[in-house]
Formats: sequence, C-alpha cells, structure tokens
Amino acid sequence: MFTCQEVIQALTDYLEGDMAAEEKAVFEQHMTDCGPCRHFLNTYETSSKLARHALETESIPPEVQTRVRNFLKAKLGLNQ
Amino acid sequence: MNSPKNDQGNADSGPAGIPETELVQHTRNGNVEAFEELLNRHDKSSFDVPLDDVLPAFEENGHIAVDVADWSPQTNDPALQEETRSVIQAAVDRLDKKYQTVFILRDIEGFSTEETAQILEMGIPAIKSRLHRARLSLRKELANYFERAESA
Repeated sequence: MFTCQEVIQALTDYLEGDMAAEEKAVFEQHMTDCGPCRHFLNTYETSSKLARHALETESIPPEVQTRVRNFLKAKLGLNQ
Repeated sequence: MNSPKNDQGNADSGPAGIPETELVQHTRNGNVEAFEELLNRHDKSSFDVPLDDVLPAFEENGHIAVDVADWSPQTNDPALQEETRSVIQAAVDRLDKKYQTVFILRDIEGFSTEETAQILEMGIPAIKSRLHRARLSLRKELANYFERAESA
C-alpha cells in the first residue's frame, strides 16, 4: 500500500514506466482516490513538458546530436 | 555562430552575461564554447533548495496534509506563455548543477534516462533521483507562479 509520501517519491519511476504491473495498479488506484496526489502528478508532469516546450528551440540535426553526446561524455565523465 | 561571450550585459547571470538557458540553446546549435561556458559556470550559480520546500507537507502517517491545486489547465493560457517561459528559465538556471545537468539532458534535450546515465557515467537510480529533485523544484516554482496568477 502506498502512502501519499511514497506515491510522490515514486513519480519518476511511474512516469519512466519502471513499475511492476501490480505496483502500478496500486499507484494508479491511489491516484484515482486521492485528489491532492493526482493534482501533484498532473502539475509535476506538466512542469517537465512546459520546460521542454519553453526551452527547446529547434531539433538538433543527428550529426550534431552525436557530437554533443560525445562532447558531453568527454567533458562530464571526468567530473563525476 | 558568434561566441556566446559577447556583450549582453545582464549583471546577475555570470561573467559572460548570458542566461544559462540561452547557452543551452547555443549548445543545441552545436556551439562548443557555449557548452564549455555552461559547464564552467555551474559551480558559481547554483544553490540547493531544501527538499521540504518542494514537497507538500505530509502527516506522520505519510498522508498528504495540504490541498494541492491543479494549475496544469492554466498553462495553456496564451496570455501567460511568455511569462511562464521566464519563470521556467529562471527556475532551471537556479537549479543546483547536479540536478540541472540531468534535467537539461533528460527533460529538455530529450535524451533517455539510460542515455543520460551513459553521458554522465552515473547509475540510472542516481539519474532518476536527481531528475526527480529537479522536477520537484521546477514544479514548485511554477506552482508559486500559477497560484499567484490565479489569485491576481
């Protein structure tokens, strides 16, 4: 059984599709029954979508994406 | 593409004077200098919001203790779009580096969680944890904004 606190902790797992079927069913039942958690999920999900919509300009060409990816890996890998 | 280090005099956005979200856009366009500036700047501009500030209050039994407004329908209001964008830009700029990098890669650039983990050479659970933290912070700032807009 999920508490609200556990549900909120699990939002990313849920949105990533990383829940076992049974866990997912319990999570979704909680969302059906609990208005505040449902509103939290809606606004949490909306926030990511808005950020992407607001901050992305145009899609990167695939070759640039590969370059950025390699560059990121070289740069950031060292710092982690 | 010009260097990002030109004269856009914005006093509080760091030595190069360009908001991080703009640097992200330059980076997206393949500008390596913009990306280096983004990396160099992280340590100077970040601060960490306590987790309690971005979560709703809970009772001892884990039950949510407050009402949570669902302002997601308001986000479609065209009159608020430009301001919403500034709120998001500021919120992302203020994220602590360790959350910001993950958020930008995963949610803005659209790399998968697995790709983000590979790029950063981190485990997937750590990526998801940072992503969650970043999303909570952003949600909180947008909640403050939309709840103010609603009552205005």
